[in-house]
Amino acid sequence: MQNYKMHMLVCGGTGCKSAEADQILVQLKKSLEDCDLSKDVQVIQTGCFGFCEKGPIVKILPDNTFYTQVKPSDADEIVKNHIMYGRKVHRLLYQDQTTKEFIEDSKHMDFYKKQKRVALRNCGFINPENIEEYIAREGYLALAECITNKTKSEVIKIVKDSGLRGRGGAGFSTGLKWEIGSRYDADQKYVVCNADEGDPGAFMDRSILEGDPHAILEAMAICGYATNASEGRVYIRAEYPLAIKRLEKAVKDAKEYGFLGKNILGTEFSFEVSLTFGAGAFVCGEETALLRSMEGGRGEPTTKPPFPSEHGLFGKPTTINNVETLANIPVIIREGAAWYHSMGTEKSAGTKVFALAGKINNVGLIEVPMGTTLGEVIFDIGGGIKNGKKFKAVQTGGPSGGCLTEKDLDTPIDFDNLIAKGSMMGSGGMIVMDEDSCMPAVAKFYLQFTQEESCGKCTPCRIGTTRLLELLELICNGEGTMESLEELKRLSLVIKDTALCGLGQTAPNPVLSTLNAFWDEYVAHVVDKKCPSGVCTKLLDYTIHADKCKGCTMCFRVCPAGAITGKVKEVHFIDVTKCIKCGACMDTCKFDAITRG
Amino acid sequence: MKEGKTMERIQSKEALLKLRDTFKENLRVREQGEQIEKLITIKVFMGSSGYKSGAKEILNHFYERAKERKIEDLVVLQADSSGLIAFEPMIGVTLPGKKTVLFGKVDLKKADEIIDEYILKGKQIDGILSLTSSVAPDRL
Ligand SMILES: Cc1cc2nc3c(=O)[nH]c(=O)nc-3n(C[C@H](O)[C@H](O)[C@H](O)COP(=O)(O)O)c2cc1C
Ligand code: SF4
Ligand code: SF4
Ligand code: SF4
Ligand code: FES
Repeated sequence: MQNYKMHMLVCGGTGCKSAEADQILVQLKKSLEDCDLSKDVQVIQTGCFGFCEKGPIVKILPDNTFYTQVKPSDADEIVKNHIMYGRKVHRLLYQDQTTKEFIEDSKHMDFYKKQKRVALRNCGFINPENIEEYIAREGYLALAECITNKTKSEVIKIVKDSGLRGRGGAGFSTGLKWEIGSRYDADQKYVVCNADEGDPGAFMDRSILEGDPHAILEAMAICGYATNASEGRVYIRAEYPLAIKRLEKAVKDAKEYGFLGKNILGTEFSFEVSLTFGAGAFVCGEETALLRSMEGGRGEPTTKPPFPSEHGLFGKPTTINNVETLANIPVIIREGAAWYHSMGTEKSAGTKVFALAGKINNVGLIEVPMGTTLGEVIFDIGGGIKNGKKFKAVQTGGPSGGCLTEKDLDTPIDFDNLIAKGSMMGSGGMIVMDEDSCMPAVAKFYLQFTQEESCGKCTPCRIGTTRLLELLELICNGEGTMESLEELKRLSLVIKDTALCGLGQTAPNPVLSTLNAFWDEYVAHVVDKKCPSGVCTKLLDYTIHADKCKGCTMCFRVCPAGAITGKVKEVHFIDVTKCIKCGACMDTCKFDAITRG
Repeated sequence: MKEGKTMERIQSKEALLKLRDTFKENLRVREQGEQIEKLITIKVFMGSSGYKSGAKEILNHFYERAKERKIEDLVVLQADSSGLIAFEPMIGVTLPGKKTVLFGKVDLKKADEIIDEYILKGKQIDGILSLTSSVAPDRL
C-alpha cells in the first residue's frame, strides 16, 4: 500500500501536452526529490480536465487546488510553498472572471459546478496508462457482472431501459441497436467503436480515449457479450497518436489481466480488440463508409438497408457504437438503468459531453445532464462571451447542425428539442459566435468544409454543395441578388431530400438555419450590399469623418492602394474606387476619424 | 503494473473485487478530495511560522493516527499560517455540514484527544478557541 499524503495530477491531454505538460511532470518530481518529499506526494499524468483554454493544468488533492497555465519553471514554487508550507500559489489559481476572486477549491469554480461527469468520470482523475487505477474505480466489474451473473437479454434490457441514445449523432436507442444486433446468427460477428470524430473543433471522443481508454474496451466487451460477437475493432483516426498509444497500452494490459482474450474471467466468453487507423476523411465517420474503409476499400457510404447490424464488416453482423456512447455503458451496468434514466430528460436520458469553442471564455470540454439549457452552458459554465461582446448565435451539431440564437437560450438541450429548433445534437460540438460574426460567412465556412469532404459518390451532394458554396461566395462578395437567396433555399431543400448519406442530407442545415434566423442579414448583403457585422471585406466602405479628421496624414502614409488624398492639417478623403478595404487606415488613425460600415 | 512482470490472469469476479480493494487504497487521497464536503477534515495551519512551531509533527501525527484508527472519512490537510502565531500549532476541525472549530497550541496529546474524544466519540473537549470574527482567519 502506498502512503502518499497528497496527489498531484498533471494534465496529459493533447492540449496541455502541447504546452510542455510533460516537462512540468519532470520538474515537479525533481523538486519533490530535492525537498525530500517524494515519499509524501504522488505525481501522475491524467487525461484532459476539460479546461484546456487555461492549460496546462495541475491539480492537487485532497485539497482540490486547481492550478492553471502552469509552466515547468513554476514547479519549484508549487513544491516549496504549497507542499511544504500549505501556502497555495495564488497567481496560478483560477481567477473568476466576474468576481475577480482567486478560487482555491476547484469545486467552487462555476465551470465545474453545473457539470455532471459520467462519461468523463475518470478523465483528469486517473492515470489512463495504469490499469490498476481503472480497476480501483470499479473498472471491469460491469463486464464481470455481465458475463458471470447476467444473461445476454438481461444486459440488453438494462441498456434499453437506461434510455441511452447513440452519441455519434443520430441518437438511436443503443439498447435497441444491441437487441437487433443480437438477433442475427453468423459464424463471426463484430463490435465496432466509431472513433473517427471528424467535426471541426470537436474533441470529445479523443479526450475520452486519452483519459479513460479501458472504459471503451470494457464497454466493447460487454457489447460483444450481449450481441454474441467475439471481435471488436476500433476505427480511430491516425491523427490521434496519443489516443492510439494509450488505447494500445490498454489493450495489452487488459489482455494480461484477462479482461480481453480467451475465456475471460474463467468463463466461456472470449473477446479480442484491435485497432484500425482511418485517414481522417469526415465521411468515414458515417457507419457504412467506415465499414468499407475498414475492409480496405474506398470510404464511400452505401445505401441502407441493409443495416450494419445485419450486414456489416465483411458482410457479417456488426454493432457500431460511438466512443462516448460506449463510455456510459460500464456505469449504466453498475449503477442500473433507473439511475441513468433519472438524469436528463424523459426522451434523452443521461448526460452529454460538449466541446465549447469559438468566442466563448471557457473553451473546453464539459459534460452536463441533458435538459441543461443552452444559456446555462454558454454563460454559467462557458463563462459567457469573450471580451464582453454580445452573444449572437451558437452552432450545435457541427457542419450538419444549425445556428441557434438568443431566443433559444432557454431551450433545454436534448435530441428532440434541438431538432425542433432546426439544429441537432450531432456529436456535441458547440461553436459560439458573437456580434462580430457574419452569418452568411459562417454558412460559407461550413459549406467549404462539407463541399471538400463530400465523397462525390452522389450528384446532389457533389454538385449541390459546390453550387451552394458558389452562391454563398456570390452573396458574401456583394454580387448576389434576392434570386440568389431563393435559389439557396430551393437547392438546400433538394439536397436534403436526395443525397445518399447523412453528410449530404445535413450539409444544407447551416444554410437553412441561418437563412431562417438571420434573413435580414442575407438581405443586407444582396440588396444594400452591406455586411452588417463588418466581416465580408468586399462589402465594407471606409469613411473619413470631416469633423474628427485632424489632417495628421498618417492614414495617407499607410494606405497601400494610394486611395487617400489630403494635405497636412486638412481633412483627408478616401477614393472608394481605389480602396482595397484592407483596414490599415482605420487601425492607424489616432483620432477615431475613420469608420467602417 | 511493474514492467516486465507478467500478471496472473484474473479468473473470477471475486478475485477482481479483491484486487479492486487493494488498488483502491492508492486512490484514497483523490477520492477523498472528490467528496471532501462529506468528510471530516482536520486542517493544520502551516506556513513557515506554523512549521517552526512544530505543526509538521502534528500534521504527521494526524496522518498516522487516522491510518492506525482506520478512520476512512477523515481528511488531513495543511493550509497557510492562520496569522495567529501565538496560538500555533493551530488546527481547524470541520465535521460534515458543521462550522469549523479551532484548536490552538496543539501538542501530540491534544491531537490524540481531538481524534479519540472529539471526532470519534463526539465529546466536547477543552481547548476550543473562540475568536471574534475579526481575528478569525478567513481561510477556514
Ligand atoms: C457524415 C457523417 C459523419 C459521421 N461521423 C461520425 C463520427 O465521427 N463519429 C461517430 O461516432 N459517428 C459518426 N457518424 C454517425 C455514424 O454513422 C453512426 O450513426 C454512429 O457511429 C453510431 O453510433 P451511436 O449509435 O453510438 O451514435 C457520422 C455520420 C455521418 C452521416
Ligand atoms: S451524400 Fe455526399 S458524402 Fe454522402 S454519399 Fe453522397 S456524395 Fe458521398
Ligand atoms: S489618420 Fe485620421 S486624423 Fe489623420 S489624416 Fe487620416 S483620418 Fe485624418
Ligand atoms: S482601407 Fe486600406 S486601401 Fe482602403 S483607404 Fe484604408 S488603407 Fe487605403
Ligand atoms: S488537455 Fe489539459 S485540460 Fe484539456
